[in-house]
Amino acid sequence: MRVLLLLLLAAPLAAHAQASDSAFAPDTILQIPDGPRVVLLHADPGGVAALRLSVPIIESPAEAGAGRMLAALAERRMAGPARRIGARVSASRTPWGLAYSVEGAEVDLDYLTYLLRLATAEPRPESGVVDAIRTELMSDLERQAESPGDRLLSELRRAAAPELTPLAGSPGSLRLLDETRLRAVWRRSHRSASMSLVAMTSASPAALLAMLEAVGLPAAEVATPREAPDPQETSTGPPPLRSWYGEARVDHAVADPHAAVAAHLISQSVAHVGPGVEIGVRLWQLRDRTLIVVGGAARSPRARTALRAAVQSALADVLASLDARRVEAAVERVGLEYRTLARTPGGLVERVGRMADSTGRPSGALRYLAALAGVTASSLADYLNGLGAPLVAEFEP
Amino acid sequence: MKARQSSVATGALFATLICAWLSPLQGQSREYAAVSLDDGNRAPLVVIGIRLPIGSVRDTSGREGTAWLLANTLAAQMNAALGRRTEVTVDVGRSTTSFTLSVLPDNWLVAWAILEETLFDATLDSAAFEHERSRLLAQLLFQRGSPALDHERKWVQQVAPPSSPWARSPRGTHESVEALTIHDARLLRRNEYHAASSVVAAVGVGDNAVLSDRPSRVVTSPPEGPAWTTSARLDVTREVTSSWISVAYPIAGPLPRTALEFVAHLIRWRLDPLPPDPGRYGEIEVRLVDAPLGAVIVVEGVVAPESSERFEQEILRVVSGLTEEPPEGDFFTWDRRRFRAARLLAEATPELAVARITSDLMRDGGRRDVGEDIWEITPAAVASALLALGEPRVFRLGPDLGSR
Repeated sequence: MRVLLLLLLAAPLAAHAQASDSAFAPDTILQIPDGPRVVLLHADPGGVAALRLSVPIIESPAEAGAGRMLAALAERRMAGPARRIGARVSASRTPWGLAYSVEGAEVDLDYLTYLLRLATAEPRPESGVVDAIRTELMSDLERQAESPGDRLLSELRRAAAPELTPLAGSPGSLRLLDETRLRAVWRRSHRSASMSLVAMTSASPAALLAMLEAVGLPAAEVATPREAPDPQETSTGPPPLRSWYGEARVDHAVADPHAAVAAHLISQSVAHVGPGVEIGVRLWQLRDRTLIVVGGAARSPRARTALRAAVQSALADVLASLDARRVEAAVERVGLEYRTLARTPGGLVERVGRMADSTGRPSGALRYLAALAGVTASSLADYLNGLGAPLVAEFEP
Repeated sequence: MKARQSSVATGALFATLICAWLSPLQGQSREYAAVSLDDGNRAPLVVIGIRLPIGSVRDTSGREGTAWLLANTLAAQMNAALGRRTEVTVDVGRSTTSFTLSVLPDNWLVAWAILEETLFDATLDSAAFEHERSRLLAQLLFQRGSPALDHERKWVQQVAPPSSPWARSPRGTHESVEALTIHDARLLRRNEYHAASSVVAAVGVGDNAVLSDRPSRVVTSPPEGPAWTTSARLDVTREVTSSWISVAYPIAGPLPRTALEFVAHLIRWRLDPLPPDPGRYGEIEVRLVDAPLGAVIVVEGVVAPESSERFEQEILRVVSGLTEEPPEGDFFTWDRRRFRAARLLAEATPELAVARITSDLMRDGGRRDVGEDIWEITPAAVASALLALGEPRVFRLGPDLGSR
């Protein structure tokens, strides 16, 4: 096997970040010709190995939900074999594709890579399994349609990114997703060359690569996209009991830490709007942009007025109260939460892998933390002023 | 005016604490009973746990909840002093109390000094104490009548002698919490909160001048058991929609801790089928409990009432099956492999690692290398541990099935 080995230069990257963030720095990046990119983190995993393999997927409207179905099928395939060795496994749909994660004892590394091969293999489900998963996903859609909060988010997402296919699918697209169509999406997406692996293990790169042979399809066997019309079918929910109002601001970047700091400060600002008002903030990562959503519900006319006023003035209120101390505290909180999520081997490869998926850079997580440390009151004011006009959604009882 | 006074007080406290941390930066300031460090090479967080040999068992009669309130007040004071870059959590048990500090590596020296200062020297703040008391009273009021808490209270009485203070709730009762005062908490702290009797474990600190490995000077010798010799059964009828089942097995010791934990793992794995039993509402829990008269393995679960009898029989069948035919050969190898993976994965979470290490230090005087210990377990050791299980005590809380 011909392997192009790129050794990452640690020193220039470290200059961007705190020394203590070196756990996020890739030690080695390997690019196998026509094979996956492998990013190795060599922090001491304490006898544990963690691997996260990501596969980019873009679904057409007629295929919406295929990624979630493939993830559910992969989890079912992995669950039994993983249980034999006590490994943790998961498969999930991200804004960029599918992420397959395995975590277990370092001595079981060979078996862990076998679980990844199993997860990424062509789906050949037993009879009735696809129908069962479709029923679960349909129930999710119905649950969301019945929840005004989810509907509000969905409307805002649609307004902010109408061209992006919803990851959860639609009743029409889920109905169309039979085994043939799922296999077509799988064949189009699961190419070795487009896969990316982040691994935390003390195994040598050569040993890891040997275990990863035969993951995914060679480029020659890739299927062409399947053309199909958009089923144009959506769920409708019951009328809400309360008034719902929300606004979304679009950040046309995917890894700008200003968004998380802003969301944290807004959530503090709207925490005590008043009685009868329920309000929240959500940072929503889409494939190529980030949404900062502020919204909530209120019952009485007075509370409804307070809700609208709070949502509409949320950004201005934060801008008016910006000072160095508040921003520094928010930066520290966001940083602590990010690093807390990364404190286990599985958490670390998830953070590094997710950031690599969104930015295309293996050192994306390290760069994110370095950029977070550089957020100031002034840079945050510039960021908030540059977000543009909000998108609005509302429902009345 | 109040706000100004509060601000001045906070400033004074902070100045005191800043002065206090200057001294530990120059060397280890406290003499702990034991300290254990794990390099945790390039960990993104530093996690330090400190365990004190004070739990609810030390609460005086009528003042139950004192240890809980004291520890939570101190944790609140620590978090107020530390700010947003750090977090201290507290866990008050029946026999010990542990504080866990999670902090960014660049800040751990200052945070640790503030924690030590607050824990052992700073004045117990009456406003923080009253706030924690109100919070605890609200919890106790909200949870009054909860079947889960009733179950907890009753099964504890099955594994400890009826008069043992160990069997009381660590959080006390509404009446006891209302009755106790800050003087009770101050007295408990003055008498019992000492570094010399506490143990410390840290992950991710690396080489430093403040904390260094120190072998234990204090070893508590747990009673060898068995905690009882006759089986017993208690059924409590409550009109609730689920049934809580506990089956507790006393252990005749002494036995290696890792072997006992392996036995608990074997029971859990065999009771946890894939796909899951639809009659169960939650996870099966199998715990190793250090009861006053000896260690006990407790198997617990919440099930649909109509499944409760089947679940109870399943527990008894699994345990007796293991005792009669302990795993051997390939079965044993796979079981051991799974157990090791489960432990390593659990301890990859640093808070869980330091909690286990401080427990080891306090109980045995040394820390186990769990990964290596597990490789050394033999089928004979597991068979011995299984044979040490005594007669079970069964507790069930749920609706009267006969009336359905």
